This record gives sequence, structure tokens and C-alpha cells, in this order.
Amino acid sequence: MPIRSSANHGIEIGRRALHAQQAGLNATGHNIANANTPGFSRRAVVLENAITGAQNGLGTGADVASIQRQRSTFDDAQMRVQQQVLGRWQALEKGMASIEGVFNEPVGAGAGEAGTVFNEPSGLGISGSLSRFWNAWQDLANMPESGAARAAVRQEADFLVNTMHQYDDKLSDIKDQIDQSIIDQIEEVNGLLDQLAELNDQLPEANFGGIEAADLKDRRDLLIDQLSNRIDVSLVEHDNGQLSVLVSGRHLVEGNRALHLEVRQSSEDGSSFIQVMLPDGGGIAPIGGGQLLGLTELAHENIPDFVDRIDQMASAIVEGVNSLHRSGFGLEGSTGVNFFDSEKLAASNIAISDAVLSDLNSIAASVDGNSGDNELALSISSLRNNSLMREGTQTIEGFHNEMLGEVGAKSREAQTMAENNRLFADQIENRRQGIQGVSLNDEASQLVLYQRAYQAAARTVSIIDDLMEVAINI
Amino acid sequence: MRVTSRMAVNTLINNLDRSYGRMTQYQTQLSSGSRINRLSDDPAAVERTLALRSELRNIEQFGRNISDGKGWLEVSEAALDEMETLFVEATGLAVQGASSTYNASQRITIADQIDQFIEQALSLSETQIRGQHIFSGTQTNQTPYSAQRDETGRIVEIVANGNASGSIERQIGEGVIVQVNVPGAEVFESMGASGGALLSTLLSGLEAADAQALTAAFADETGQDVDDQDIIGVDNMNSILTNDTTDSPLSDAVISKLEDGIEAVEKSQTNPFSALLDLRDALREDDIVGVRGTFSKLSTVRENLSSTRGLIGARVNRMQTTQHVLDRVAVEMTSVLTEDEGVDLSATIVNLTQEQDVFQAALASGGTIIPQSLMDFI
Repeated sequence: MPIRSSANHGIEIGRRALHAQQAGLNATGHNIANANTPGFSRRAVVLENAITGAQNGLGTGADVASIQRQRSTFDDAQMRVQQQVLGRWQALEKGMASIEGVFNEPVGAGAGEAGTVFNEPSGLGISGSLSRFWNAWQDLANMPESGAARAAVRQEADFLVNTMHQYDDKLSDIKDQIDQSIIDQIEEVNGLLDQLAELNDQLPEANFGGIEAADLKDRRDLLIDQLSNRIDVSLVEHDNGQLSVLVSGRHLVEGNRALHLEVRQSSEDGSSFIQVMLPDGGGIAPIGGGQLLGLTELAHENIPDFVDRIDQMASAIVEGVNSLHRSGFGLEGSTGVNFFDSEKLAASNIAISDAVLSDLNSIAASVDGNSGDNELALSISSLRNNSLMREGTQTIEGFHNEMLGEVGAKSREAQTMAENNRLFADQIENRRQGIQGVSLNDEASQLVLYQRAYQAAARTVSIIDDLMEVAINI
Repeated sequence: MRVTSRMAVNTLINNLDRSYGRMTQYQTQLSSGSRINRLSDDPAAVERTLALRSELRNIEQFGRNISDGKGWLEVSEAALDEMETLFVEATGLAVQGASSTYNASQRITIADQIDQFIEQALSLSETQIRGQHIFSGTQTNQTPYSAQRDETGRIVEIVANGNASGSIERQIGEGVIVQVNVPGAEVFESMGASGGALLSTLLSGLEAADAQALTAAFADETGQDVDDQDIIGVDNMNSILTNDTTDSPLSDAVISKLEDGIEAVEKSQTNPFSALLDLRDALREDDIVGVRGTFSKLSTVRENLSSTRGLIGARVNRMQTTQHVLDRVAVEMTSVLTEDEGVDLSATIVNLTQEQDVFQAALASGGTIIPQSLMDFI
């Protein structure tokens, strides 16, 4: 049987070809336009040969089978996990850097500073001001009858007291800032959850006639990355394309509904205490990662620990000095006098006693009541060597230096971990980009391909048109 | 693996960031001169250097204490030196006065000179440093001794104002305390043979029963076992006598031994003032025997002055040695501190230069590579 080919078949082939190459050009154009869009996954057009209306075993050109979103779900999942770890260390890095700034004695000023430290007017930390305080008692021991030496003791005590207040104030400020950061982050998290719920509403494939809503998914993945940096998330993907988002183990986005995390502020010992709460009375959120984990660690564990330690130092100083001072005699025979206010045992409120503030002569240097005796002043200055901390196993100085070493070590750890995790995250991002990223070189060559194919297809249509003209004009 | 332009840009940005961070770090080190500008730069070194700095401050304070203490000791020594000279002269005068070639009126003349010596000794006892009396023990705001005079203004007796026995100390090292004063009690008050007698001396000549009774009484006093070579003090002797009960009374022989012992001790006790006063009184009374009797007292006083000066000298030496040691330790510590904290200038500058080169190379290569793509050619 002779094969008859119709011109219409040829036109049809040309028509489909034009559509297919046009689709390719459109996809390429979309990719190029979004070359710098964060979170964008490039599209790849999948062409297939068209079979419908085939004549004589010849199909009808090319069809677009699908436009695929190039994405590595494996790397996406890895990135989410990594962001949670990274977020925590980022928050710790920032927080510890601030805390470290509080404790920074002028350690970097070179050895010459040690010799002139007594003449530094300010900028000394606890270590420096404690030294000056103990040394003032030694100077009093050298001149126990002197009013000037007593004035110096009171002056150095004042300096010490103010230094401790300052430390407490600064740590308190940092804690307030961190509390505020927690509140801000929770607001952002809730905002992201809202956006995810909205996307869930728009996303179901039923809305798009069964076609994957690639751009919406790109947006959603970007939001989830941002969310993972802040708090621990896990996801449950549904067949209809929607996503359930679990935060700290609790479903917070379900379908198009989003629940919000709450912040509860309570007051403990006069300082505020912030807790992140699950919605609907779900109790305290067991945060497992992200910046919020780092921030809550700082606010609940690290800062209170350091404040507690300087409080311990303050109370050891107050009680150590007072118990000796009470047993001594002042210039006019006064005895049983406290040097520091005995009710104020924290770094925030440590103070010189009213008796000493109002009368220099009540500062005791003597043990036997005579003005020339300096035993008490000597023993008070020897407190620096006594193990007053940790139930009698460590000196105040040792305790303080250990604390500073820990602050430095923690800060360094946070810096190193943050840097390492940044490197990891960069690597994962690079791998991801390898799959989903737009390469202008690729797109340029695709442009050439589709353009030429389009031109060729247009040419075939034009030639067939000429043929039909010839046939008609027979 | 596909490499997209975004990847190239991200990598470039990250590396530039790190390089810049390193350069800033080197710059900070160079401008501060120290390797450690924040606690996190080297936490272990922070603990070390804080401790070292604290030590250096301590050493500085000890230096101040030492120089103050030396001042006290040196002033005390000077005063005692003058006292000793005084007593050398007094001894000379005493020898003259005891000579039989002198008559009563000449002795009165010598006695007047001795009066002056007494005034001088009294005034030396009132030596002060910065307004504090150095021989008053811890009662530095008052003179240690004052004179009671008769109607002619002549000194009759010298008595103590309070207790001149306290010690004044200075701390010159960790747990090292040195006494820097000479309590008046050690120089101007009772000295001589130990204030007591050997038990064996008292026991000699007593009958066995009495000897036992006395030994037992002494043992009771001290609450310990005693033997012949122990010294029974004047206080103990006095209290044995006062505690003598009618239940088991001590025999008369024992009592008289005790009283003799007390008297002997009191006779051998003397002090600078009483020695001079006794000499003057004996001279005024033209009592050659009495004058001779003061020779041993004067020499006891001189021996005591001499040995006290030796003690002071030893303390001054100790302080000076300690000061030298402290100075050397301070130098060592400062150098350790510098090594630990200080920045290695040449190494850091080289590193900085290198890093700058790397930074510039990265910028240049980024500038060349990133803008290129196929788009330029089609």
C-alpha cells in the first residue's frame, strides 16, 4: 500500500516543534532571570517525541514531557541539619564574645604594665583592683597610726566595690540583650511559620492541574533553611505536596494553619527569666538546635554561672575581711566593726559599711588595741593567700583566674566550632548549587541550541507552506 | 560536578573574608604589641599571665615593706649605738669614781656627769620615726618611759608608761614576717642572769625530805616533770611561797632557800636606767663599794646592747638579701611574661605581608574569572 503523507502532518510536526523549542527557550530565560535568586532551583525541559496522531509510524514532532525542578533533596536535608548546628554555635560565638569583653582585663598591654599598674587610674578588672586592695592594707600595716593610709584603704575598697558592680551591670546588660534577641527570634520564627502555612495553602498540586509548583517549592525550601538556622525543625511531606513542620517535636504547621511559639517572662531573684513555650499550654519548648538553643543556653546557663561566680567572690571577700576586722581595734579603740556591709553579699550590691564610710578611724589595724600594732592589717592583707573559695580549697585569685580561663576557653570553642560549621555549610551549599544552580555557560549554550532548533523548525514550516502553494497552484 | 558562577562567587567571598580576618588579627597584634588581646586568643596563657602579673604586684609591695622596715631597723640601731657609746664612757667614769685617789666632792662632780648620761639615755629611749616612738612596742603614740624627779629636778626613778613589749612586723615575702622594732622591754628593762635559779642550786644543802618537797612543789607549779637542771623562775618561786598551805607546809629551810634565791635573782637584775641611777647614787653618797658594785651591772647592760645590735644587723642583712632576691625574681618573671604575651614582631610582620599578597591575588583572580561566561561570545 503506498504511503501517503499529508502536508498537514508536516505542519503539525513543525507546530509542535516550535512549541517545544519555545518552551526550552522560556525555561532557559527563566533560569537566566533567576541566576542570582537565592534558593532558586534551575529548570530543565524534558522533551519527548510526540506519538498522538502518528501517521505511517511517524510521530508528530516533539512534546514537552515535563519541566523538571533540579534539586538535591539529600543535600537539602543535610543543609537543614547543618543550619541547626551552625545557628547554635553562631549564637554562642556572638554571646561569648560579648561576655569575654566584660572580663577583659588589659591583658594585652605588655609586661611593662605590671610595673606601673598601681598608677593606672582605671580600666583595671577584678584582678587588678583586688591586688590594690590587699596592698593598701599592707601600706596601712607599714603606718598603722596614719589617717592617710586609712583613707587609701577606703579608696581602694571603693574602687574594688565599684569594679564588682560594673561587672555585674555589664553581665546583666548582656543578658538583657540576649533576652531581647530571644524575643526577636521567636517573632521571626512565628513569621516564617505563618509564611509556610500560607504556602501550604497555595501548594497542593491539585491547584495546578497536577503539575508541580516549582517556584512555590523553591520559596518554601528557602524559608525552611532560614527556620532551621533559628530553631530545630523536622518535616513531614504529604502526597499532595503540603508539608507539616515540627518544631521542637511539636506540629506547628499543619495544612494551612500555623501555631505560634510563645515567650514567657518570669522573674527570679530580681532578674528576668525568659522561657520559650509551646502553644496551647504545651509547656516549655525543648529546643534542640538553632540560634535559639545557643541563646537560651547563654541566658539560662552560662551567664547565670558567671554571675554566680562573681557573687561568690564578693561574699568571700566581705565575710573574710569582716570576720578579721571585727576582732581588731581602730584608732580610737573601736572594735567589732564590719568593714563591708555584712548584709550585702552579692557583686551587685557589695558596699563599704556605714561605720567605715563615716569615720576613717574605725578602720582597724591593731590586734592589741595599741595604735602602733599592725597585726590585723597584716592578716587582712594575707587573706589574698587564704583558700577562701570552694570550701577552703582555692584562693580568691585562683578562683578568678580559673573563671577567666574558662570564659576564654568557651569563647574560643564557640569561635572554632562556628568557623568549622560555616565551612561545612559552605561545602553543602556548593554541592547543592552544583545540582540546582544556574550556570550562565550552560544557559548560553542551551539558548543557542533552542534558538537554532526553533529557526530550523520555522524553516520547515515555511518550506512546507511553499510546497502547499505549489500544490494549490497546479 | 557542575560549577556555577554562584559557587565561584561564594567561594571567593568566603576566602576573602577569612584572609581579611587574618590580616586584621595580625594588625591588632602588631599595634598592641601583645599576642593576647582577648581572653579567647589563648585561654591557658591568660591564666598564667594573670597569675604572673599578680605576683609582680606583690613583689613591688614587698619592696616597699622592706624599705620601710629597714628604716625602722636602722634608726633603732643608730640609737642603740649611741647608748653603747654612752655606757662605755659611763664605765670609764665609774672606774674613776671607784678610785681611792678621788675625794667626795670629785665624786659629786662625776655624779653630775652621770646625771646628764641618765637624761641622754632617757631621751634616746624616746627616739621617733615619723612621729612614732620606736621603743614603745605597739604603743607608738607615747614615750616608753618617764622620769620621776625630786624638787631639784634631778631624776629619782624612771618608770614605764604602759607595756613596751609589743612587736612591730613587716611582711617581706609570702608568709615571711620580720620584726622591725626593738621593744623597749628588751633594752631598757630587766636584764641579767636568767630571771631564775637552777633547781640544783636551791636543792643543795637541803635535807632529802625537804628537797623532795621543793621538787614536788615546783612540779606542781609547772604541771610537768622536773629535774635538777631545770631553771626555777622568780615567778614560780614567789608563787610556791604564796601557795604554801598549812596542810603540808614547807619547812623553814626550804622557805629561806626560796627567799634567798629570789633575792639573788633580783640583785642580779639590772637595766640601763637603774645601773646609771645606782652609780650616781653611790657616787653622791661617796660609797666606793657601791660604785664598784655597779661595774658588773654596767657591763651586763653593754653586753645586752651589743647583742641586740647584732640581732638588728642580722635582720637588716636578711632584708637586703630578700630585696636582691625579689629584684631578680621580678626580672625573671617580667621576661617570662614578655615571652608568653609579647608578639614576635618579625614573624608577625612576615605573616601579615604574606597574607596581604594572598588577599591581593584572590581579588585579582576573582576579578578576572568571575565576569567571564559564554554570554560574551554568542
